[in-house]
Amino acid sequence: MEIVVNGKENIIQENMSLGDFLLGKGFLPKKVVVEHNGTIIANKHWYEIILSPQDRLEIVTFVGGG
Amino acid sequence: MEDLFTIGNTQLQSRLLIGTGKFSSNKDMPGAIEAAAAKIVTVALRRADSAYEAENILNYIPKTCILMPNTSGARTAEEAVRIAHMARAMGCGDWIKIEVISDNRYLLPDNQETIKATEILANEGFIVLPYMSPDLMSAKRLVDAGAAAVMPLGAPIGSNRGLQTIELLRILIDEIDLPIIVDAGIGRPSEAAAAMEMGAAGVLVNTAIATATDPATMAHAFNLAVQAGRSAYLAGLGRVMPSGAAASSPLTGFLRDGEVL
Repeated sequence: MEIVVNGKENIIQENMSLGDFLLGKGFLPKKVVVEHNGTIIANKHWYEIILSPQDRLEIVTFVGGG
Repeated sequence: MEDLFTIGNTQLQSRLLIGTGKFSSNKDMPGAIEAAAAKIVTVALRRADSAYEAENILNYIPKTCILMPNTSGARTAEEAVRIAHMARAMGCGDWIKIEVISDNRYLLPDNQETIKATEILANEGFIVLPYMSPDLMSAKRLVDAGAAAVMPLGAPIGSNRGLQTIELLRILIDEIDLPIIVDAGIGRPSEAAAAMEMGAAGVLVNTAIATATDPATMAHAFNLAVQAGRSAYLAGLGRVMPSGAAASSPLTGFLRDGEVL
């Protein structure tokens, strides 16, 4: 099924949790903030969210800036 | 009497704030931050498309520093608030620099949207430092909106053109009761010193340090300049004569006969 991650289409398995998706991509809880359909999801809740088709994820991190 | 620099409830040992953008390598950052003796360090928030991109910039920023994420990328108050929420969710504190820009040529901030975002975020308990175009009425509204300091630009971001807005900065320093931190455009230590001599509470420098040939040495130079400028301000600068001259040595007892000058 398709979800949108950082504006780009991603094909993933059905019934995958947000936690499984993120850790599968190598993201570590302390290094990113994740928004699921416009809501920020705290690390401890990552595995509670089961992804649905057309879900929108934003995965962000700190970078250099002025 | 001690010269204290306070923002909100926090006392700061350094009046030089530093940005982390444009460093040619992350490895240059720790040395520059240490040489600057900066306490407040800004970062930005961006999408991480891979775990590699989420490699932690925090590894390069000393743990004793206060992190101040900016809302760069925001074009409206709503976008700034969203970014601020995500920044806070990283768990590094409540400080936020509001940066709302929809002008891509000059990168001038949108004061109106900045005021809106300041009010929302201050009410949510953020320590808000808004980046703004030096307009007195906007600054007053930022004070009313709950800003912890006001950060007017000296010149456009990254331009290194110095205190182009000097007359307006002077007005803000004289009229606004919050700390005035000159942010953007400072290109050399002498310009940072000039801002401090006028009575600015602090300066934020990024490009001039990050893009110097030797960022750590430049950061140290800025450190000294900010201290020098602040000391000069406290020492009480002498008056500037609009014209003419006033002798520094006595006008009597010359080693010759004849009239005095």
